[in-house]
This record gives sequence, C-alpha cells and structure tokens, in this order.
Amino acid sequence: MTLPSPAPHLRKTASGLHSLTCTIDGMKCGQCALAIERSLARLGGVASARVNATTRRLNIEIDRAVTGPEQVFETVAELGYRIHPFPEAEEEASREASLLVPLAVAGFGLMNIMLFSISVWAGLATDMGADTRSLFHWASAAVAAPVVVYSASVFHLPAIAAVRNGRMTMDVPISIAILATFAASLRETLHGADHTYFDAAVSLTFFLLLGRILDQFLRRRSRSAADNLRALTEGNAFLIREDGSTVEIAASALGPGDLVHVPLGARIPADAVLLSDHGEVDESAITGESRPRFLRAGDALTGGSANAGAALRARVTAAGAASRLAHIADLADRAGSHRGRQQLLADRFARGYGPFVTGAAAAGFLGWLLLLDAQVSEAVMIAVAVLVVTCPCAAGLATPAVVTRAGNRLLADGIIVRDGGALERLAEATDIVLDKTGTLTGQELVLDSCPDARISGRAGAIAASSRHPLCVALSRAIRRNPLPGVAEFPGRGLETEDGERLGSAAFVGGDREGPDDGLAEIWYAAPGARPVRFGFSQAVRPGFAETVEGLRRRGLRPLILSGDTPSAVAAVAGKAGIADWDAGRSPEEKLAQIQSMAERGKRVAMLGDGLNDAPALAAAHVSLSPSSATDAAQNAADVILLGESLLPLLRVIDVARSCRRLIAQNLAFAAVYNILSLPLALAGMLTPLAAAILMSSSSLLVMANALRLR
Amino acid sequence: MTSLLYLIPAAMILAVAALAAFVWTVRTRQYDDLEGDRYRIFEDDDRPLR
Repeated sequence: MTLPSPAPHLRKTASGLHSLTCTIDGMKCGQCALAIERSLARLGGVASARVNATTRRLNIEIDRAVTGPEQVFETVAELGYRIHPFPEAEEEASREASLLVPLAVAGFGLMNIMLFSISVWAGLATDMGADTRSLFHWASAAVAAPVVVYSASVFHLPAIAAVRNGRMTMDVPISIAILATFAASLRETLHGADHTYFDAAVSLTFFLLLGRILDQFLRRRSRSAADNLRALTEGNAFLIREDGSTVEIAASALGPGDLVHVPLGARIPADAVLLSDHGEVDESAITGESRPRFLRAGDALTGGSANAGAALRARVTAAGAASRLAHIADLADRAGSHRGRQQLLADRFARGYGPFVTGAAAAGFLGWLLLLDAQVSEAVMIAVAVLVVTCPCAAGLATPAVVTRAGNRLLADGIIVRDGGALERLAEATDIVLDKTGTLTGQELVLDSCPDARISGRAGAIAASSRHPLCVALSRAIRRNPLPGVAEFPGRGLETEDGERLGSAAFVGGDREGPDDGLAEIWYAAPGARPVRFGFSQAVRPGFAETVEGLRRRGLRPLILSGDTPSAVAAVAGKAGIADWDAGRSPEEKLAQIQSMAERGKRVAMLGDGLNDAPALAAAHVSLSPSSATDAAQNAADVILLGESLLPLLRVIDVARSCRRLIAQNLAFAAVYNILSLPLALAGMLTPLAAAILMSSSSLLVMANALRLR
Repeated sequence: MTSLLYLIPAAMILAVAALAAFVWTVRTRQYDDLEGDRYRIFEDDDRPLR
C-alpha cells in the first residue's frame, strides 16, 4: 500500500516544530484514539499528538530533525487505520461560533430568575410587601438583561437580516416576542406592578437556543465527516523537477508548464498534454464514458480523469481556475445558487404564523383599550401575554429536534446528511435521476464476453503478469499462474516468447465485427490464429435491482442520465428494467434536463458521482452522492452514501419521509397548542406561572415526538 | 427583610462564578471531543490539552 505523502501539508510552528492535521479512518471508539496516541508518543521527536475521536482527526507536532511525517503515517497505518493529510484551510473554515456560551448564559438566567419568580408567586398568595416584590422584579430584570441582549442575539441578528431582505423566518416572531416581553416587563417594574414576564422571556430564549444547539451539533458532526471523506479522496501530484527528480506536492499548487508524473490508477491532477508515447485514461468521472481512451503523445488530458494504463508523463496546460475542472465546478456553483431560496416547512409555517401572532397581539391590545376601556399599561400587558403564549417555542424546536434525531440515526447507518433541509426536500421528490458510471456501477470491471476455455486459459496466464486494469480484471475472472517471459508494451499490450499477443485491437490485429457493444475490450491472438475478443463491463453495485424496485414502490420514477454510450447504458438499464434512459449527455445537457424537469413542476432527486454530474446535482431539488464520488460531486451533494451498496438510498428516503411527517405533526401540534391557550391570554387570565408551564410542557412534548423516529 | 440585601448579591456572585467556570471550560475547548474524553479519564498519565 502506498501512503499519501504528508509533506506538502506540514506547517511550521512558532517553536520551530512542524505541525500536521490528518484525518484517520477506521476508528471505532475513543479507545482507538488513545491507542494511536500511545504509539505515536513512543516515536522520538513527537512533541504532542492528540487524536480527536469525535472529528476523527489527529493533530501532531513533530521535530523534523528526529521524526519525519512519513514515520507518523507508517505508525498509524501499521495499527490498521487509514490516514490522510487534512488541508488546514478547510479546518479553519469549518469553525463557527459555538452556541454553548449563549446557552450557558440563558441557563444561568433561567435558574436564577426562577429563584425570584417563585418567591413572587408565593408572595402574591401570602404577605409579601410591595417594596420586596419590587426589589425581586428589579433583580429579575438584572438577570434577564444579559440573556435578552446577549443570548437572544442568536435570533435577533438573523431576524434583522431577514426583515431587511423582506423575508419572514421563524427568527422574526421569536425576536419580537423576546424583546417585547422584556420591554413591557421593564415598564411594569418601573410602575411597581404585580406581574412581570421576565421569566417568560428568559425561558423562551433558553428552550429555543436548545433547538439551535441540537441543529449545530448535527451540522458539525456531518460536516466533519464529509470533510474527512473529501480529504481522503483529495489527490497530490508528482512534480518532475528540472534535475529529473520527482517531488510530491498538493495538486492545487501546480501551474501551467509544470511537468508531472502520473502513476497507474492515479488521477491526472490538472489539464495537460501527454508527453509519453502512449497513454490510456479513464475519463468516466468527466464524461461518463466507462471505456478507457487510448492516447498518443501530444493528446490532451483532462484533469480529474484517471490513468488507466502505464505510468505517464505530462505537461500541465491549465491548472486552477482555467481548467475544465474549474469550469464545471463553476457551473455547479451557479446552478446551486437557487438553494438558499427554497422554503422549508418551518419557514412556511413562520410566514403564516408570524403575521398571525403579531395580529393577535395587536387585536388584544386594541380590544382591551377601546372596547373594555382598559388603561394603556393593562392593554400592553395583554398584548405581551398573547405574544408569550403564541410564541412558536415548540415550533422553534419542532424541526431541529426531528432533524437531529434523523441525522444521527442515518450517520450510524453510514449516511451523511450535510444539510438538514435536504431530508425535507428528499421527502418531496417525485422523480429520481441516476447517473450510470460510478453511481449504478462500481469501480470494478467484470468479464462479460468470453471465448472458449482453452483460449481463456492462455489469455489468463498472460494477463496475470500485468497490472493493467483490464488484465487484472481478466486474471480475476480466469485464475492462472503467470507465464514467464512476458514482455509488456505500455499502452499497447503483452507479448509472450512464443509470439502470443494480448492487448488492444491494433496491437493484436483484431477486427471489430458487428456493432460496438460499448464494452471495454482486450484481444488475444496466437501466432497465425484469428484474434478473439474479451469484453468487460463495470459491475453494477450490489442491491441495484432491489433498489430500483424499492424506488418504484415508493412512487419515485427512476431515470438514467449518462454520458456513456447508448449500448452501455442500455445494458445497465436492462438489468433493473428501467425504460427511461438517456445516453451521451454532456454536463451541460444533464444540467439543462434537470432544469427543464424542474420547470415542468417535478421535484428531482439526483444521485451522481462524477465531475460531469456536479452541475446537475447542484440544480436538483435534492442531491445524493456515493462516497467514491469526485470532490465536485460531493461538494454539490446534500447526502453522501457510504459503502458499495445502493440500498442505503431507500433507507434515507424512508427516514426523510417519516422525518417530514414528524416535523409537520410537531408544527401542527405547536400551532394548535398555542392557539388553544390564546383565549386565556386574551381574557387577561394568563399569569406568568401559567405561561411558564404552558411553554415548557409544549417544548417537552415536541421533543418526545421527535424520539418516535426510528 | 434586610438580610435579602446581602443574600441576593451573594446568590448572584456564586451564580456568576459558576457561569464563569463554565465559560472557561468552553474556552479551553473541553467540549470538542466528548467521545474521546470519556475513555481518556482512564489514562493515568494524561496530559491536559494546551
């Protein structure tokens, strides 16, 4: 096994040591983290080694004079874990302000304000004097102020932003309720009144922050899992220096004119021209075409495709923003810009509920002032009581509680949900578009058409001595001991001492008869005999037919959209009886098709893995990728399915649907609960004590309902 | 009732001290790896994160 080189990712620290962040795959629990730390500590020159078992990352500081980063990698690999350097830039970006401190301030406020509130409630029934009550109200105000200003700014700031953009989100009614309750209570305190609602403002903030923090925990866990996965697939490049030596650098550091070495199986790091005489590349990630392409010196190589043949040399023509890769990524970015505007259930709820809440409060105020001739202060308190009781506290918890539960369940099943809203959108999907190469089919090639046993045996024996992917696939199907004295002609084929040849059609002298069946092929000929052909296709992923059947049963119409040849697509579509398929699609055409389906009112879920799928993934209503997908596809995907099998697709759809059902139930419950208690508030019968009980009990019920998700 | 004038500030000071202690634990990143820390407590020669 060759390890990715950590050298380009080393950072120099202030104390002259080098630090490195890596992602570690294969850890089961915290014990593994400790075992890794212990082994690393035994290496000399390790100043500190810390494995975070939650994010699955290693932070290590080494003295390069004593221990190289390669030794660190070997040590971890020997323990049986996969280790890969983690780009520091991404790690920095994934840090966002924690909500723990705002929650702690709100919790501190809630506990202490209850100390005063319960005293006042008890005092009202007994003999507390007006001065003492006033003192307790002032103390409550002092405790509530930091909560309302600091902790609740988590809602105030987005609410202000939403109002500026003319939108209505859940933050707006929340923010209004918290601020109005606090302001009115302050006014009551000034006038020495009996009731204040400081405790309501504080507990509102606390419960809502709880919902937010659940949301944040899930997002962080999913994001760190997704980032780790991306670091594992990110490639380095081998730069050939002027003196002929090679050095491994990050692919992003390449520039036009650089000479690169691409080993067998590696990704071509940038757009380039081929310098070797021959080459064979697998462009399936870019075009969807599963058959490797043969190239000659001077032909163009596209960054992101894989080297399917012998190691080759190439000169970079375009890297970074100018490359084909960057162009497609850009297309995906623009196609994905619509995402922010999509309305989730909670937002739709807020759009209807927000005006209702403020309307009810205004009606209460005017009703008491004009119809019942109440004093202004009394009418204001009625309006505040309405705001408190209708404030969507349970509604603010409704979505995060369910989505967090669903996200954690799915993560345990090997499904990463990068965006909580994706589950709701997936539940709404009407059609599902599937990419073929790499998505429905795996990476492995299988022998499809095979001549008689004697010839196969010879071919298998010759193939056993080569590492070419087609030869590997052939010898996997036909196991023979390698034949001695086989000469390999890179990019063309193999020849034995007796003159038997195994290789490309041109090398062996094979002649295609009949229609092209779209399979990758290898030819065999004994001297003087007629060449025979072996055809290969990519194996479909396990659970393919079952998954397609399951999709149909769930009312989703599957459609295959591939860049591969019609015959190759038809073969795969036939295995699961999919009648709708399109072949030979460019990334732009895939994108256009998704957009036109969306215009016809369809909600399209897209499952794809290649660079060529990225724009279509970004444009789809919801998008999914297998974990083997290219960077660009994973960036555009909302959901990432780990493992080979396609069956998790059904699981995530089922969870998404019950998730949406539970969210809708929670929101309906919150609305009904709040509206039922509205008359109490309008009649002026809602005491602060009743408000506190109503609010906490509805929040708890919503949380309990979320736990029903299986 | 004048005792309240001592007791309320005393209660507040204690509560703020507890809050400050919690904020310190957040600042020193003690909640970054709850999964690993629950095994780490069994380590004899554990060094705190700097």
